[in-house]
Amino acid sequence: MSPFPPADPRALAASGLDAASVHVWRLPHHRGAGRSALAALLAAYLGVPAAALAFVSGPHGKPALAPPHDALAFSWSHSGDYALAALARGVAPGVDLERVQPRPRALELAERYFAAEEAAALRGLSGEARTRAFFALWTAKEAVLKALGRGLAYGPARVAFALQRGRAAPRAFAGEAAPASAWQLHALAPAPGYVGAVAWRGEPRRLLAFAADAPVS
Amino acid sequence: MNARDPVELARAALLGVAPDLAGERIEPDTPFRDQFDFDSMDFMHFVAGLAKTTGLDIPERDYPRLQSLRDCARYLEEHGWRAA
Repeated sequence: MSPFPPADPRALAASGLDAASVHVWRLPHHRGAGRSALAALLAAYLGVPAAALAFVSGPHGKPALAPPHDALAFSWSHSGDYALAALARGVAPGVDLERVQPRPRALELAERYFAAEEAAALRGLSGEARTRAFFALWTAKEAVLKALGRGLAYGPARVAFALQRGRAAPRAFAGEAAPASAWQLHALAPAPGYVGAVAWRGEPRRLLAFAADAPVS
Repeated sequence: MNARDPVELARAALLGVAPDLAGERIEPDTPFRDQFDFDSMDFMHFVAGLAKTTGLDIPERDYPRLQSLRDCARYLEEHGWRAA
């Protein structure tokens, strides 16, 4: 898992985001904040004022930057006190963040929405191991489905993962997400009590993670 | 609950997964995520509960159409749900 060292997005904007990397930022978040922190981060990377950015929605609602800034692809997720933003050029990243909290009905959710093998694997675990594995699977599914631009409406069971020592690894993807082998998936540990995942379809890239603990300006 | 009112039916399904919302005003026309902390897991639980209560099969591709109580009521009516 990647550590999230503090960094200044404006300093990174100078060195840039190259075509062999994916950047993930942890940002502070509070309810009602909307996407202003994300816009400020994207603006820092692009070297333009946040007010100059416009967003468009893909056919299934995935937000993207409007031209002329659309070469910078991003994904955004928030939970609790944090947000994660994944940025890349040349691939569409998908990111998910979840605050880990007791989910007494996790197995019920898995049996309804996960692939049969995934639900069976979770049934074989208990306590914290089950919780950890459930969140690993959930964040993996969300990250891949967000990268695909489809979200959970695509069907979480259609992207199936193997659990390997508590980690999720792409196993069998159906429809336009196939093949599973075309995907990169990284588990993230953005902060104590939080888990995340970032995914993209394409070649392996260098994953760099940072934390901006004050709002980006 | 008025079992003939699909908005109330959806509200009951919502309270089934988020009992801490009992007593709070839930705006029928405002998306859930704009009103309270309601993450994707809560949402998936909610729709599963709504499907169980109504006996309707709600495919996952239709989930984006269920963002508010009013959305849910409209969906139920369009798909042939009738009050008992």
